[in-house]
Amino acid sequence: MPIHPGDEMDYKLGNLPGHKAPLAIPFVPFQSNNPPQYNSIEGFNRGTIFPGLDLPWANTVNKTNPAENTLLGDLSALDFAAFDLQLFLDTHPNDKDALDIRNYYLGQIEACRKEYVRAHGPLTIADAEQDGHHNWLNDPWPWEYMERKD
Amino acid sequence: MAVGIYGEKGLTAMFSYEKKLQYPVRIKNTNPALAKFVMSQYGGPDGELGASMRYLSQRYSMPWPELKGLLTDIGTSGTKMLQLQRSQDIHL
Repeated sequence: MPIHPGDEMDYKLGNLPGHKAPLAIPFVPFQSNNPPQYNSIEGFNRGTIFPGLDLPWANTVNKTNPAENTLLGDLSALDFAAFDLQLFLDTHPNDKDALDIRNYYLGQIEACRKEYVRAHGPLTIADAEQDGHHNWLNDPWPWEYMERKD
Repeated sequence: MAVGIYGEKGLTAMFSYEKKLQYPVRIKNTNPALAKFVMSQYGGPDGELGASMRYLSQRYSMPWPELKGLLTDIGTSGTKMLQLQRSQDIHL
């Protein structure tokens, strides 16, 4: 039934098109505690460590990433896993299993980070000294990537 | 961006900079049209710059602690995206 200006309006009259289909309501279900997780590399490639939240557009998924099997790739994947768990813990602060897994990743990150800094230079300003030299300004910066810097 | 204080355990900072990208950028083929599109997602009303600053501003009126944390984490994560976008663009 067509609607004319001046007709009495109700919020249900806004359906589209032809007043038949309802508007979509986006909804992300609340995760349960200790949900299943990908390993850090697969999570990094896919963009989430939680299979339950993994719904890629048109099922397009990275099979790998440009830095896989390098120190940078390992560190990036571990950082990503720890960060994804950090977001999860914001809304699930009492999930002991998630806390344990995040602590495991933080330990791995510390080791990997030391190795990376030794090989490629400082990650933070706190790492920026080598043999009495302030090496923070050494090239390359992250946007000046070069293949060999992996 | 770093506002740092050297504490007993080393550097503590409100926002500290890490000299790496969140995701590795390797451009094989240049594509100026795509570069233009990525730039459109950087600034402007629908860009990452505005989005991350909105998250960080909305924190101040957020009553729930869980969501104060989420807005903080998502907003700071947006600044990683900004560096990613520009790093792609200069090579595209």
